[in-house]
Amino acid sequence: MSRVNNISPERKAYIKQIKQRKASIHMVQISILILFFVLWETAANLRWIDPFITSQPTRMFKTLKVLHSSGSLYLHIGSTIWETFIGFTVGTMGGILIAILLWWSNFLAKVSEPYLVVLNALPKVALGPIIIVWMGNGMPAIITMALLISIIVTIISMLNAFLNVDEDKIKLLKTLGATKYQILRKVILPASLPNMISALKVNVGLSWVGVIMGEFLVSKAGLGFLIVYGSQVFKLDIVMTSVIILAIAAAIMYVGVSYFEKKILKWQQ
Amino acid sequence: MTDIKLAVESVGMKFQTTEGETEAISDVSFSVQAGEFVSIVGPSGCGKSTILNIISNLTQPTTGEIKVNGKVGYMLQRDHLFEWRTILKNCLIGPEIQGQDLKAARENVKRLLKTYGLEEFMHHYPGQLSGGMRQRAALIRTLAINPDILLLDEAFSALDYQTRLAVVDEVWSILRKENKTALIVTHDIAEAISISDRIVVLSHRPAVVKNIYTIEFTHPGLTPLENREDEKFRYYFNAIWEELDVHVTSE
Ligand SMILES: Nc1ncnc2c1ncn2[C@@H]1O[C@H](COP(=O)(O)OP(=O)(O)OP(=O)(O)O)[C@@H](O)[C@H]1O
Ligand SMILES: [Mg+2]
Repeated sequence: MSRVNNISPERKAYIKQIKQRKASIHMVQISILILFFVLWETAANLRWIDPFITSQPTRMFKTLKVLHSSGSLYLHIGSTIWETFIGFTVGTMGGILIAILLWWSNFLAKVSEPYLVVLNALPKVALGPIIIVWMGNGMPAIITMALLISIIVTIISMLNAFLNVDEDKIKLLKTLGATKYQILRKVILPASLPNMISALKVNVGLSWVGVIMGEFLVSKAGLGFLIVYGSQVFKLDIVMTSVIILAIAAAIMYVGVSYFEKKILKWQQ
Repeated sequence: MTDIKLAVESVGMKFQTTEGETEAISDVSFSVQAGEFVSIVGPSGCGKSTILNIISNLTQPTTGEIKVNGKVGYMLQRDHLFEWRTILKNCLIGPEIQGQDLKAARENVKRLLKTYGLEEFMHHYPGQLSGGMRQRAALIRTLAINPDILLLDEAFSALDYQTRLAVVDEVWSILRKENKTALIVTHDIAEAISISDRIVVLSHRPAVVKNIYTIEFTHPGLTPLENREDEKFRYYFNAIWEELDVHVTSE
């Protein structure tokens, strides 16, 4: 679609300028990160700050090595990522399925409306202790918490998206004699794809919140557990290391979703 | 003697809502012969779209009945091409929904796209096409199910005036060439006169048929754009204008 041949000199200059700007934005971003860590290290070494409570990059690196050689690092990362992944997937899929059900039956949608509103307003953390009592002190409780946090928002936002699909697009299919299922498949779902992607993006973040919350409350493993444990025994090295790992893992998952978005929404540009 | 494709017989329509009852159509009857182009004009809100909805079975009339002899295709005001489908795939939505043989339908659609100058845009997304091209694609989508009768509801009103004149000419000749029968709803009296064999004038809501004009130009067999130059064009325009009784202040 793009015109590869006959690039004018103005166009060349423009493209070059765009590229340069992008490069310099990346440069500054990376520099800030490096500067931050260098400053942190230096400040700790020169005792401007107390590394006992702030930790410092070299100490975090050592902690990482210890955790790595004891093998527990991967247990913690693994269980957190697993819980997040399951919470995210079930919360998103379940939310979308329930939204489809409510779209299908307007009666059900109307009946469930006040319940959804209340459940949405309720801070899900408040349910934490109940969930622990019901599901025990382990992974199922954590996953349930992550799932609860994302599923209600997903239901509400997806149902909204379904109901906002252009009436005339639906009418068009009806004039062709489409069944309700065909309307769902051919218009409602594809038209709501952008909303689905943004729900995914939101849910990535929410699932992390749910999992870490859950791990704070109950777990024996996971990054959330490491953070709580570290702070209890006053080993800030462990806390900081876990937070950094968490940040990296969350970023990777987000990038994954963005990549997915680009692949799917090729008709959008 | 003649071949009636579509007959609307004493149709009446009352809408029920929580706010109350709206009588949209009181009593409307008319018929359309094979190969004929009939326009419906009438004041805003008099029930024109409702009549088309009833004909295409989207709405059940309160009284009266519809007799359709053939397959109906409906073309809406805006093109409603699905942004997530290519032009070719958009045009195939009808055969897909109706479970027709997709291979044959694809050949048919490709032929239409080729005949009407959209071949090279077949694999483009709607966002990459101009307004006129999109409208042509929407027409091909409507034709893809091989309808005998086409219903057009303000199908050109989203276009700017220049494009509109050209697209009307185009659509008119496409429909003539493909031997279709057409029932056209429009606000534009001049457009109705230029493309129609007959014009049904409706009253204010609740609608009844006020008059049916048979359009006979001094030089028959010309295109809509050329018809606008005909000596009798102005006569029909004035007559229908009077009939519609448009009050600029009260509407
Ligand atoms: N589904 C519906 N429920 C209730 N009232 C309706 C419904 N559809 C149409 N009406 C009412 O019926 C009347 C006729 O509507 P319709 O859309 O057929 O008019 P129209 O002649 O096509 O108008 P316009 O020229 O503005 O397109 C209007 O008063 C409208 O408010
Ligand atoms: Mg209308």
